[in-house]
Amino acid sequence: MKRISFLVGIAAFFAFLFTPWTAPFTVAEDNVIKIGVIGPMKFSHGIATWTGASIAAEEINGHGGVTLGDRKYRIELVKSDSNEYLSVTDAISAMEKLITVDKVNYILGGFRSEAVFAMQEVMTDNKILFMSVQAAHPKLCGRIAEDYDKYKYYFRIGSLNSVYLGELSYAYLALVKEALKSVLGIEKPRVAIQYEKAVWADPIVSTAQKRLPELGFEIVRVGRNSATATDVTGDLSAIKAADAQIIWSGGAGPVQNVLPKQWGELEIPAALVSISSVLPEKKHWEATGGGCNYELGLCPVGRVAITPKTIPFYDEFHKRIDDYPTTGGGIAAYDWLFVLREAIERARSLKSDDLVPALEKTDYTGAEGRIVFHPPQHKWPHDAIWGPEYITYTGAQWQDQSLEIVWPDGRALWGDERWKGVKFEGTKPYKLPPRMITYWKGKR
Amino acid sequence: MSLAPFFADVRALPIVTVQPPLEVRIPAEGRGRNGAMFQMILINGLVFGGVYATLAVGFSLVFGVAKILNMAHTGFYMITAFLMFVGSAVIGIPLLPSALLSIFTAGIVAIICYKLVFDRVKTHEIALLIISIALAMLFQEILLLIFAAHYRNIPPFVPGYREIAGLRVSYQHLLTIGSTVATLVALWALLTRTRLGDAIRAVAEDSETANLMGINVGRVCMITMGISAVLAGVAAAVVAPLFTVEPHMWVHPLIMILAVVVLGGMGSIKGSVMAAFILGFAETVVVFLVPSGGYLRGAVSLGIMVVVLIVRPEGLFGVVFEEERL
Repeated sequence: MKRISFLVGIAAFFAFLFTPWTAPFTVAEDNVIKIGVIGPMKFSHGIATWTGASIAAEEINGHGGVTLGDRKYRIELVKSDSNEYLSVTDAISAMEKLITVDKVNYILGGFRSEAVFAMQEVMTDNKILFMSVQAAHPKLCGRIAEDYDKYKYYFRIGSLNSVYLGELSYAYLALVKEALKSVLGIEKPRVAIQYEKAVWADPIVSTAQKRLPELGFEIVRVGRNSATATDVTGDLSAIKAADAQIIWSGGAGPVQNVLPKQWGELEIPAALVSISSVLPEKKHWEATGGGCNYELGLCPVGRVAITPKTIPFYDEFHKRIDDYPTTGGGIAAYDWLFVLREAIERARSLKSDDLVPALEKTDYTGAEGRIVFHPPQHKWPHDAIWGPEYITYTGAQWQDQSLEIVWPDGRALWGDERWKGVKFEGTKPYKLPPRMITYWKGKR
Repeated sequence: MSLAPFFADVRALPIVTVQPPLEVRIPAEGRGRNGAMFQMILINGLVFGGVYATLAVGFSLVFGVAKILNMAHTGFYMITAFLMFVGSAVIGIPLLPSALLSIFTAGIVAIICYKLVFDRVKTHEIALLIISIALAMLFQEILLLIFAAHYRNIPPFVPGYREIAGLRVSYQHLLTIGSTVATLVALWALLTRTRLGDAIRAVAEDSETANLMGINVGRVCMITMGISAVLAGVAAAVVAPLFTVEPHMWVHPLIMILAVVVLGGMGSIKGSVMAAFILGFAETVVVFLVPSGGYLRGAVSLGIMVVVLIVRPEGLFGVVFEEERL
């Protein structure tokens, strides 16, 4: 009898522990909307996300906050370190804590696709709006098409998904191809693909192996390195041995500093084109010892007037943390809070379920560009549309310690005439590394 | 590298995507312009091997003498790199004096850690192992607090590169190979030509008898710890300019030197050096011949270690050279 009582007591304890006594928190308390900002907060991407969100929150609160009926709500941000570079489990725990302990209304952030896939499950368990700023795998939105009711709470402004990033990098390759043809007379450049082994990069690499030959390139090597690789001199040696004229690289880990550093030190005579989350950081020059000079690659935003809001945000961000807001997380977080405010005022509700259809109607011009989401019927619902009339991103090249925007350059993109004339004030021309010109002049 | 994914919630399992098979590509003599693939593998293998050997020697030394599996060894390597960065880039001390100061400081820190931590638990091997890992993580977290996770750069001692058999090798990489040789020669001289070296070898051979012979075993172990950290510091001085400096830089080298010392035979310095070059070449072969599987180069090295251990559990040189351990 005693034993039965004991077991019943234990069972009751666990039942108490796991019973969801409280409903998911969707109603703001005390005229405050709490937003959990989650990301790798010891790294530049997390810091950028927090800074971008903070600037937006201050601006919104300074202008009266979010209006809902006759009530005004101020935005309060709660910072959470996901540690997702090192541990997906930590990211899950951090998100759960934001919801259950900090009792946030919505979640903003996420960086690694591997972590965000897992965080989406926390989102579905709690039916809470998850505003994504960096993770690029297309399936993060593809899941919404597969199971709309379960995953509908997920929306992404940044990063562009990796299929778009691949298309974007073809734009950068177009710049290089044009330069190789006009300066060196090379008609069919040889490309070495060197991407980190990561979930977000797999679709890019597999697609590229079909697309690049169609676009007039010859692929001479396909290399995949670990994101935490500390030495890529072997890869660079093999790339030079393969006579590559372009190194097309991609990654988000520390290797994206190591590769340009060693590329520059060894003066590899190939143009470096990167889809890299660290290329547009101010510290990239310092971290590579200047080796990144003439590296061209992804830059979500530069100090050019993409919209009237871009440069004021850029300058404010730079003033706060002495870095460029050029990693996608910062500007996406900034635009997200304004998009959210509009959606709340449109839906006249704070509940995540009511905000979903309101967000689907978003057509907002932010600092990053015109933000419109793909509709529910699309293969990537709730994903920000990339295009000349929408979010464009830019291409940036390090030129003698200065990060210059070199794309869009006003030319049609691989026959897509919609890009003709799209060029922001302050854009400079792309330059081939001088050592490349010296090495390849007269050779093929 | 984190083991967290193995214990993660099932919802953390990655979405499976279909991958093309790994392609073993034997380049057609570098398109007929740069033939020398074998020479490239040889040179790159020497470079990688030199890096691992420089790191592994100190690790092997402290295990051989003090029987401490010091997982914080690469933590001292990381501390030296950061001190070099602060000295040269922040304070403005020239690079060589900055390196020497940093190496010396790492040695002092190691001796302090030995007196305060390792000496108190050295009879409990598991506790020692766990504490050394905790120490390394403590170093990481302190550096994260001070420096955040930004990547830093240390300029090379000798900038530039040299073309060898069609391969561009930086002078810093060549310096790494040279420093490995110099380190081993210096260590050999210390161990065979000095009284301290005699004491170190005696303790490594039989600490009880050494104690009975009047050798202060505790002091010898402490000094060995300092020497080991100095060796890690030397490794940092030559290797850190090749990479970037950041607070997680201790993890990957630790895994590799564990593979090196286990493969070479625990406590055998000679074995560690040999194993370092074996694994360095293994990684280079993967990078050159299976580029799409380049991310597996660490796994290939560890796989070789496992295979060798199945065949020869004491490591390649664990028994045969036991009498020559130090």
